[in-house]
Amino acid sequence: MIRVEGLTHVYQTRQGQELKAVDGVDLNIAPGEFVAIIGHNGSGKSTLAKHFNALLTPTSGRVWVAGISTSDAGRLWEIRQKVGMVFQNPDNQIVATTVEEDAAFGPENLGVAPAEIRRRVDEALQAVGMEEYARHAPHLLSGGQKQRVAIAGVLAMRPACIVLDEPTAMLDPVGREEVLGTIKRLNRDEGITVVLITHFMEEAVEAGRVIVMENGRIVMDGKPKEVFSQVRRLKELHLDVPPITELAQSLAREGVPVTPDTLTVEEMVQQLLGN
Amino acid sequence: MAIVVKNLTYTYMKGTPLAATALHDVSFTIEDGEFVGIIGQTGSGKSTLIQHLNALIRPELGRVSVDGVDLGARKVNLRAIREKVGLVFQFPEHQVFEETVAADTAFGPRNLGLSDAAVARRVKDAIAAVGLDYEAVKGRSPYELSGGQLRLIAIAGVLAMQPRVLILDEPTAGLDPRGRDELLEKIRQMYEELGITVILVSHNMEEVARMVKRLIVMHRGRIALDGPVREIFRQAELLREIGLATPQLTQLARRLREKGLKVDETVFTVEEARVEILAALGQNQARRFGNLG
Repeated sequence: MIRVEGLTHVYQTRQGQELKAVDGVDLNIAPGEFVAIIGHNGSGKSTLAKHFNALLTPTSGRVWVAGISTSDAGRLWEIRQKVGMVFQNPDNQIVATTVEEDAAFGPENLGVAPAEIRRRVDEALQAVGMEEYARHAPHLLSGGQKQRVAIAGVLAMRPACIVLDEPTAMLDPVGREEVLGTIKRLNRDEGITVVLITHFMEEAVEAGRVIVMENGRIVMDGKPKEVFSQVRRLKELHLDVPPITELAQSLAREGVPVTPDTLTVEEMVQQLLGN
Repeated sequence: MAIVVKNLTYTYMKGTPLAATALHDVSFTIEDGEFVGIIGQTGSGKSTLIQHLNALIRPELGRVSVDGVDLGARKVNLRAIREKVGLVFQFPEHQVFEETVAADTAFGPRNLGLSDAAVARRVKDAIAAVGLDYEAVKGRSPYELSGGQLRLIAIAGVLAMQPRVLILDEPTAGLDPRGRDELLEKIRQMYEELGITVILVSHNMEEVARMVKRLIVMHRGRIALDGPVREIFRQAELLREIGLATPQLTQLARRLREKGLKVDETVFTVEEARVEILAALGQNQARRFGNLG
């Protein structure tokens, strides 16, 4: 779905200095994957993600989206139809006065026929569980609902992949659950490739694959269990470690037979007490 | 500097079809020097409540008093109250607007009519209190700072008013793990070094548990629970109903207890959980051994 080879991205700061935000990244994301990218502010994860739908193009290296190079300026619209983006602040992404008009904004700009737009909008709102709110004013919705409308707007473009840049950072726990549940369902039921950029370790645990970025480079890449079991490494990077995993490793050092990659409460209970 | 709230009820858009009661008969006292967490979901009344504490909302029904001053009285010096009770809103960095860090921090105290020298001293102290290097940041544009630093500057602006009570509404929202941990540590230091009362509003149980001694849990405009953190955690079922999760390790301890392992169900740190589980497993082992003998 997305192939990145030797990608480097350099920003020019106002003072005229060069800032290397992404530094020689190689990455392959297969169709249907659910990938979480974690790392600190300034680690390069958002810059990397903006290359996935050609909001940025490489300073050096190459990025292909569904086989199309993002450096191919003539095919920008094709790329952006295939990969949709959802950003952090729900209030900055809403453009229309009703939920359904908002979701229709993308396909309208593509010149899709009205009947087809109707069908796509209905399907998209249904997919995010917002069909009842079709005629509501978006500004009266909760943060979680607004983000689901933003996701519906992307879905109406019929993308193969959705990239979400900290979509839950400004939401409360209920809103976060709504959005994460929606993302998981789209990945599982609709087969949409998902790239989720997040600070929340609890969300990354739910992905099929976790990528950790630091100083513009990929420093870890694996299944959640493989990544989160490296407690010491994660702590060095000042990233959150699941408390259960940390406890498991500390108990294991005391000779208690629990595996160091224990990730959930139930796994821990099983290992300590059996059935 | 005690804060006393008695039978406080508040209805938004009263007398209209859109009337919504945000607070129902809320009563509590916060003593001078306490560090209290207020937790609850969006819409539980937390924000309405804290806006009463510095008279941004005047009590309609019931009483709020700060340091013996009744905030519902007709003649109340609102300015004095707002000087005493500093409120840091969610995403306070959105309210930073001056060209330099020092000018932004000076905005509040300057409005108090202090001398230039007094303002300058307060600015310096406030920036130091949030743990930033005054000399290094004073002349910089706030927008050159990182998100976490910008938020600290916004908090410094409130501290420059030298409040006796500092209320922070979701101070860590949107920060990355490092920024979050640093900010929480700074808040703890402010509490300890300035000797002020701190009220931390959050929906993150894990975070609040590590910081405060007392928790007030709000649900649908009422106080659902009020007490020491560990006592609150014993109410796991009620918390779940309210939609607030207990910390992961507290959940583990509870599950282990249900299955017969004698561990304290109020643990929430890795170290506590480790000690409890090892002790309980040790006892089980000893019992088994005893049976064999």
